[in-house]
Amino acid sequence: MPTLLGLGLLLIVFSLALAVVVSGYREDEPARILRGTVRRAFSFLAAVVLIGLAGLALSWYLS
Amino acid sequence: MESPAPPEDTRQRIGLAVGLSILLPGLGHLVVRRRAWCLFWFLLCQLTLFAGLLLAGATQFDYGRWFGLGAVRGIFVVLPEVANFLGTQVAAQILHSVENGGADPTWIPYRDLGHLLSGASGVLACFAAAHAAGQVLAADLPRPGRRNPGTAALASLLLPGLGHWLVGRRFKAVLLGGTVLGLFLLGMALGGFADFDRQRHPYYWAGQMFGGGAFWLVALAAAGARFTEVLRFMDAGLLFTTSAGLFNVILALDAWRRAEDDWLAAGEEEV
Repeated sequence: MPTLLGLGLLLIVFSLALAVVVSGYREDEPARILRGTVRRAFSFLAAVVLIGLAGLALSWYLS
Repeated sequence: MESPAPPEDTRQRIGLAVGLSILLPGLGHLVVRRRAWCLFWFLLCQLTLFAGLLLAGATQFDYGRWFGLGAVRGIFVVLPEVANFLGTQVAAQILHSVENGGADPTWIPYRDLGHLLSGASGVLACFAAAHAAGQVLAADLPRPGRRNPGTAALASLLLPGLGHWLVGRRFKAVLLGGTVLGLFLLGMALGGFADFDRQRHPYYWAGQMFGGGAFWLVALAAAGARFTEVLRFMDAGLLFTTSAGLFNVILALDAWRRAEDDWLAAGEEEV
């Protein structure tokens, strides 16, 4: 079974990779790419965690 | 800031070259009469397709399906080979999978190499279209000494980030290329180097193939690896390797776009 800590670390890694690629596509200057990476990585990570929590709450409510 | 764009007639010719290239790799180069390139791309894509099909006993067709009306066969779709459209249609008509003849595909000695070659033909066909578009740009708006956008896109297929390096975006080359390669290798490690496997994950495999030359070499090196147990993070590994392949398409598009911006800006400077 995957551990929660392991999944959390992989989520952080994937969020960063996704944010780097999207920021690299949107921007051309290094400083803007780095700023965009932090913002987008946090947005994606927060969205996934929120969806996960909503799913968890729904499963508790329905069970 | 809005990027400069080529004139309308050049854009139309680029669209025509891309469309023709997808129909038959090399055909798009004839829009600007690049006959040598036309022959090169045609032979490269068809040789890789048919060599791959022969090596793998045409088992590639087990991963695709016919689309048509009722019992009438229309077009055959198998990812990513179908990007080499006419070649795939002809092959699907004349070759038949040995598996459908009752043979066990896992016994074919060069099956992995065959699938890699035929899949590469589809990916190469997409990049032949990018190259043809670059040739149209070079013919309509010549900029001697400038890096052609088609070359930049092709370089990304060779190695993620190389296209950006060639157009002078060294920071992006290292950051984006390192990210894509790192994500791919981490994903492979999480999957025990067994998750680049068409037999097991045909749709994920199509995405992984877009990682290009570097990915293909790793896949060849790990061709014998198979899952022998359920690994803790193998699903995440599959997601990472496939995402890395698709991210490389974004890198190639961006390398193309930055090269085109520089290309058009050089013209404005001359004016």
